[in-house]
Amino acid sequence: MIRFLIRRLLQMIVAFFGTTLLVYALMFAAQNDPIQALVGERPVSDAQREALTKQFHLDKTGFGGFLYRYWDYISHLLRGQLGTSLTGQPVSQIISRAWPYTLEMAAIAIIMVMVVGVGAGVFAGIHKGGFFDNLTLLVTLILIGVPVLVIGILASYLLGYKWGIFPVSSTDGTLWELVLPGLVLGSLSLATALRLTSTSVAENLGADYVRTANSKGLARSRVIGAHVLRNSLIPIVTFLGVEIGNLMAGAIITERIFNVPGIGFNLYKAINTEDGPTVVSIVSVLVVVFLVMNLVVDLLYAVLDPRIRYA
Amino acid sequence: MNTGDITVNRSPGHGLSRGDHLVDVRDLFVEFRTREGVAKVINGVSYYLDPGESLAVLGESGSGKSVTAQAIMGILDMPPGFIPSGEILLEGRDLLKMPSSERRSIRGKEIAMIFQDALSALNPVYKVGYQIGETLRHRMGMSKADAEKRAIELMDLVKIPDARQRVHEYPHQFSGGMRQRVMIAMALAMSPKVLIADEPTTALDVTVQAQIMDLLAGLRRDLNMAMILITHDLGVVADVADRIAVMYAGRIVEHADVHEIYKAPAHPYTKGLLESIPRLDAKGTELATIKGLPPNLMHTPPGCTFNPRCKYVQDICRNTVPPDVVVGPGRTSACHFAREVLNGDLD
Amino acid sequence: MTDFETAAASELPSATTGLGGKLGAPGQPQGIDNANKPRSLAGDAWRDLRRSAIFWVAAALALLFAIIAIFPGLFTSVDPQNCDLSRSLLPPSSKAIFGYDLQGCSVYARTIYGTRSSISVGLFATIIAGAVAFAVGMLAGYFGGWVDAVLSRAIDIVLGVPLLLAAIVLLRRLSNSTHNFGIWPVVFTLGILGWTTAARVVRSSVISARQQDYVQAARMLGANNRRIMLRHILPNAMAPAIVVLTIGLGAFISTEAALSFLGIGLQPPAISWGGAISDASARIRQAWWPLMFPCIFLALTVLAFIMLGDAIRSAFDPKSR
Repeated sequence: MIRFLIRRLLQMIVAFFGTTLLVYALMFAAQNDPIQALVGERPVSDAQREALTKQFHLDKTGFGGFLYRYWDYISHLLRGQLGTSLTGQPVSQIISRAWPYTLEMAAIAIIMVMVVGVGAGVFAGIHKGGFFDNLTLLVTLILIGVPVLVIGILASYLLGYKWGIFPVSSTDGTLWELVLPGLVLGSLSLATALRLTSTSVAENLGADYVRTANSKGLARSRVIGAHVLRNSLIPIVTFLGVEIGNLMAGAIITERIFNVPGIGFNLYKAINTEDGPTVVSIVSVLVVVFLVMNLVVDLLYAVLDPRIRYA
Repeated sequence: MNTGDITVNRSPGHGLSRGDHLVDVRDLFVEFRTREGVAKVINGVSYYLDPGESLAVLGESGSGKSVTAQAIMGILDMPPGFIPSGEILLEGRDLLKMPSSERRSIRGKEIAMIFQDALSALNPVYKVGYQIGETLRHRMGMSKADAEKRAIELMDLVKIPDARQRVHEYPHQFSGGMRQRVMIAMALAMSPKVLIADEPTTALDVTVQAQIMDLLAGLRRDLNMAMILITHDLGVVADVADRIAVMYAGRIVEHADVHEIYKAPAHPYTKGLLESIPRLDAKGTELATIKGLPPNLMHTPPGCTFNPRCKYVQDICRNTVPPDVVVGPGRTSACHFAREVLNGDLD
Repeated sequence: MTDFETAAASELPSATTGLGGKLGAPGQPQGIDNANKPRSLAGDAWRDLRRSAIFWVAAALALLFAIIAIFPGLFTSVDPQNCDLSRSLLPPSSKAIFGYDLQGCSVYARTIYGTRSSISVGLFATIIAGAVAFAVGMLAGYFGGWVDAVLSRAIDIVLGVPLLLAAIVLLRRLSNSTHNFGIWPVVFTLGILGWTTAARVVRSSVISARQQDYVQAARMLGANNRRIMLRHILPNAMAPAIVVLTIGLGAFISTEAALSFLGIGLQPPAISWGGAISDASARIRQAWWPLMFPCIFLALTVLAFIMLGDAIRSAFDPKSR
């Protein structure tokens, strides 16, 4: 177990440096005028130029300079110093104010995915080929096929504006206002979770150890509840790790549609106002979160599957 | 069915003793109904087992030997499986007519089964002791501590060393032979009267095979447990079985005491099987085989299902299903020329 | 039979007990006893596909949108850039079946021409991503060893950044220097960031193909690496990769729309559904038509490709028979 943990941690460190380097390179590599890259279309005053040059060590040039700047950026990132937005606000402040909204929305999404997605998936898997199974296959296909963008817009329009079931945009930041965005955010993951669960359950129902459990005369409820489920849920846990990434991407769109002042919305604002430093910092934070979540999921996987632990 | 004028006992099916047996399969028919057609997997199989006895059911893949066992256990998938007729008696009670809850209570408790591949037959995410003790906890109400103690006892019984430590390990941490012992221990948990072993050694290498067969033989003796051993390997059968039922295409083609079959088979198929065993003293000669392949059970040949592959085939074989010919006390063979094969007249 | 079918033929369901209590119909592998043609996985898959309603619906839709993309003039004679503010937000009428948007442009025309942008982006991005995926997956899977280690780490790293986020960063930077390059910045971005899943799929098919006997045989007969890779392994790695890439096409169209919606994808004068949706969503209370029609087109297009890929995947999956 320890060996597995250490290996995973090392992988995560490699991935961390790799991905942050990638993000950094995407933004800053081979730039003619890095200052312009940071600020986009805006005109830059000399004072601003000087401030930015100092902040990002843009005086150091060439490949060595690039690495130096990257290292500087990483060390700041790890220390939680995320720089200053072009609006003057510290990015860390922007993030800490926005975080709770996104977190609550994501929590709603995940709860829905687990309860509805996995629950319906188990049922569909047990009754594979039945009406419910085919129905859910169709519904999930639509949820997967129709982009989150469209689902969000339609939900906002129909359920929010037209039929008034949910509030259209977030004004007070109450939990109820986050329900619809949360549902929209989770819709794609729900569909994938449902399919994955039903396939996993159906496959495990035909497994040899189920035959053994039956031959021991165990009740069907125990065979499914203790044997099938326990094995079926393993791939679902790994799936969750991947989904975090999708949830992050979806959050940007969902928050924009529903005006939820979360991380995604602030990222969108930063994009629109061409606020380079903020964009880079927020994306970096998100990437780190993604990596950590993946590590947690991998550990969970090891807990669930002893074959990984005692390989 | 044309039975000709040869002595035949078609009821209760095995034409042998009529007394009360521990397990008595009578004229069992099993079909598999699929989209592509109906496969007649078991066609009138009858055999019996008495307390403490060991019956070997021998046959190739697709002969129906496992399906019969699974039908006895009641773990066949129905659909696509379907039992049009037949009886499976356990101590006189017909299992096929029982309500499923009663059937389930018999499973594991009076009849237990072990399977070929212990790695896939055991649940990979639960500890071995947990799985061995599962029936004790959930069907006999034992406490966790008692069940674990009993699991250790059972592991000792099947000669797994260091049982006290290994009871907390997972199936993948055991070697093939040890895993098979775990499965045996699990099957013995509720002290069943009958153990069905479905190809228990096929997935193991030869030395381990011998160990497991020795273990089974010893357990049978010590616990006076009846055993149905399903296998395709003639070599495995000789030391362990009292009687052999040879199956082909869903039918028992020969039924005899183990020594008699090796001495003088009474069916061309059995003869072919025996002749195909490679012998050390036959160096340099060609390996004998039974030509051809087992039939497609959706389209069996008319007459004797073995006729396309039989060395001694005659016209009658191609149009008439052979009856069960009694060729000796407790011995039958489903061949028109059973006696001739037995006496070696045809070679 | 092609190598693909030869390899796939070895995956015919076995005659005897497989998993668990499910017994296959005992008997012979079909190809030997019956007089029928030997069945291959590709042949089976095509038969299943032909019977699938979803496949035909998806294929028809995809074809329809492809035609709209290639020949927008067939569907509308109106110039999408011909906007007249005096027509702003006029509802659908016999003259303009989708009405007019905020700028007074014909929603129908813009939606039709938007098809061309979206499908082009999707197609070219998929081509680039596919090429990279095949190269990386093939090299990693075939050579193994440290080549595989390095390439797999590279895959992990690119995968470590969710596509949308990375695309945002890259496009943010590209947009400074590439005004009026049309769809190409977006195509490029999606292509070089979105190849990872396909690469993994290719890699694992290559690894399993590499271990097949006919590859050993080819090597013994003196075939060099390049020949083995192209002639023997590539055909077998195709099927799962095609599934992923078809679905990926839909995903790229969806991502492009999202990027344009956020304001960072296709820029005017390029026409994009995402951009149209973004513009229209501000005025949703006054007019639903500039919003709904692009939404419907976008949804149907993405749905078509994803359904197509899904249908192909189900047909090729031996486990779902």
